[in-house]
Amino acid sequence: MTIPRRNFLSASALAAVGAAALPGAVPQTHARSAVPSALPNPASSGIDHIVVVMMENRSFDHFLGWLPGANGKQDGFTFIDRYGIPHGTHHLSDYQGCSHPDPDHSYEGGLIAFNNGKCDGWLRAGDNDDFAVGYYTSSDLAFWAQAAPAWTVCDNYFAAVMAETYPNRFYQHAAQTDRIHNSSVNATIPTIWDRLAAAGVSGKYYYSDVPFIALWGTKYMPISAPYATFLSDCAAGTLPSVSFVDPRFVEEGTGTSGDDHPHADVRSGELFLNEIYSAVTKSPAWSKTLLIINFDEWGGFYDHVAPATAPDVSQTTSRRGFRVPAMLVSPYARRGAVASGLYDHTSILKAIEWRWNLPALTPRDANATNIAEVLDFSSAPNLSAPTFLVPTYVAGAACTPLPGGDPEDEWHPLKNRAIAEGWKLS
Amino acid sequence: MIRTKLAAAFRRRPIAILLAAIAAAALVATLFVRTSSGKAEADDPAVNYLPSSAHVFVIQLENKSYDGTFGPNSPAPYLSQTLRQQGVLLNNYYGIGHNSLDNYLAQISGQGPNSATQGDCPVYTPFVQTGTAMLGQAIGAGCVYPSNVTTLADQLTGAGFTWKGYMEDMGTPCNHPAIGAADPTMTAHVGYQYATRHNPFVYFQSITGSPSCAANDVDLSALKGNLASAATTANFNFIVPNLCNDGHDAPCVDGQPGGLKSADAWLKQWVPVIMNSPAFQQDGILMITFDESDGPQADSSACCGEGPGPNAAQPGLTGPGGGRTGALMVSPFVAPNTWSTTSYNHYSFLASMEELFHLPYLGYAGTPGLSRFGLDVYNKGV
Repeated sequence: MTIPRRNFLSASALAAVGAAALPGAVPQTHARSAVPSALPNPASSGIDHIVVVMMENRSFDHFLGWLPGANGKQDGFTFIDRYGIPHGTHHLSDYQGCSHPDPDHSYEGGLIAFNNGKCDGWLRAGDNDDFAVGYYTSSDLAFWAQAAPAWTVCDNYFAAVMAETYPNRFYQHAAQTDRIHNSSVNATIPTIWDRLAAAGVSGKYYYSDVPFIALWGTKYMPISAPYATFLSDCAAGTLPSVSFVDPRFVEEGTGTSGDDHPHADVRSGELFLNEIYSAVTKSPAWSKTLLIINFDEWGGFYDHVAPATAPDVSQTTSRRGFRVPAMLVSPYARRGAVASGLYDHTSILKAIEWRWNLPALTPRDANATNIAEVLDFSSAPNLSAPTFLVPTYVAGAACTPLPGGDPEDEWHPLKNRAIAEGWKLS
Repeated sequence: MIRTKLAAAFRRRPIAILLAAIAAAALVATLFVRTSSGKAEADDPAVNYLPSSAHVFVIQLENKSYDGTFGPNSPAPYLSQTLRQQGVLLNNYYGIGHNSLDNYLAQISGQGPNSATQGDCPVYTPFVQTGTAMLGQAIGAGCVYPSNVTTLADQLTGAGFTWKGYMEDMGTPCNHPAIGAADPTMTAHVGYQYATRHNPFVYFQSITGSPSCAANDVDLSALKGNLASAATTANFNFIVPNLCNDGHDAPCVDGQPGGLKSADAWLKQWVPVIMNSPAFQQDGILMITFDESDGPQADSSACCGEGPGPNAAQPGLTGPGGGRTGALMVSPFVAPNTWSTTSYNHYSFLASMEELFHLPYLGYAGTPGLSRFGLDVYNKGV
């Protein structure tokens, strides 16, 4: 715990604004001190289930920059595009952005946006237009509008690597990536699932439409299950020790995927998250569960905090990606709190390794700060969890494919590979 | 908008060429109406993103996909490491078709492929034009375009700029077969590895029918002398190594390895010559481009909205484009070891050159929404 922590902010201030932003949000009334208690003995910590839900492609400022008390900035930035024209950050007026290119979030495009720490190259990367400097507010995001002010949000949490989806998802499973771009070639790097299995700890990977874990072929098929099983495992109280839950990745163009990757309709992602939130908080296992929601990477959307480098297996992948939203929900989570310690995806691995006494996978998770430190183990667990109302919506017309292909195209080769190797996909 | 461009021309050029500039401006007015769909007007307020370069050098190599050239196992370490670290790597740069020739012609004219140019014109046939389609596309088939189909070279001359094509092993300036004759350079010969099909200037009668061709489309051996001073260095220089040194052949007819290995050795010899020249150091831009990917079976993808043209439903024979090649730019206007990830193809290249010299867009360079090199490429000051 060498990374300094600060401002676990007053819940009452946050809750007041949250309630103003969205009538019906349930304010939490107890305030917390800024200094968390030390981590307890992990086996008796009270956390017996860790659930990780990784969404897609939203930066912190773009998605949660409105959160009171957090280090987010939305209105007021101006960025110069490749033709010297300034564009201000602005409130996005629709939920999909069909008419805009998917903002560049490649390794190379990330370095253009990063621009040696100036974080101003958003409109000079890829084929980006001003979609990349747009943002959503609490009025657009029914789940986050209620959940973010109610639970603990990390505002200094970064994508693990300055690269696109697959590299960051590899980091979530393995604390490293074997590729800098998405591709469906076979992976063999060791994962947290290997560590769990070696220690006799249960783990399960729940997939919606495409199993990311099929990049290791069929190796992890025995610990994989469809998303419906996650809901039933929650209801039955039979969650394993560690669960990863992935959203629907395809059908972004029609707005009905649930992963928040452009051009998904973000209202679909809100429903998906609320379904998970509800399943976890109503589960018989709730009292011993930590739910973490994060995003794989920033998706090419602007963020004003420069990511630094971290100890890594490779210099190429040592620079983190830009900040993404991350939230902790648990009876041990502070309510209405903002945690500003430095975290990335491997901070979650660190928490899992801490809880079940597992060896680190790489220098990255070995040196990561344990995200469990944002929890409050010194108070009695608070089993209350507000119910959030996230309205259903009517999806608009499907996006017309843009030149260069649909963003979701990255998933089809993996889906085809998985099917060919015997995965049963819906 | 026309006034702005003219004013810029007046500021930058001697009185002696003003008449040419005015004549070019008249052409500008016509072509904008015909080809640019309002695009140039819309972009005009932001022309300050353009560098004040007056000397462009293009080295065109052959038939290599991006991953092989610029990937970690590249057989061209000078290009992919030494030189790459000095410039900006455009990693989404695409050819526009297959095979070679249609790419070269697109770069200087904005004309899309036809069956003859896709086949690299083993016979030097005239292009028989039956009409004109959108964006100035000549409808028809054949190799040598009639004089009404103009090129960047014609535009430059008309605006008072100078151009040169430097062709290794060509010998005689403006070397090309007679109309209707077979092209004897379809395969390399020991000591003579020139390929007509890699010399785009001789496929336009607007050039071959003028003394400009013999004066400007010359053997590579003239380059060093012309680089002696900025005044003797042309504004636009299109440099084509021979069939061995451009990476096309492997192994080469003379026993050299060819491919990226020979191309890398050639670059190592010639790039310093260019970069040490007064013109480059003053305001130069050096681009290293590839005509197309490894080939139509390897990668016929396209970018930048490229689609079927009036003369080719599949510009890349097996697909819509010429595949991803990447391109490298080194320049005083470029920050070292940087990336541009914007989608570009040879039509974007032409549009970018035309913007740089304040010329109207020709052919598909005027495609609405087509990206041109901006501050992502000329990124020294960002």
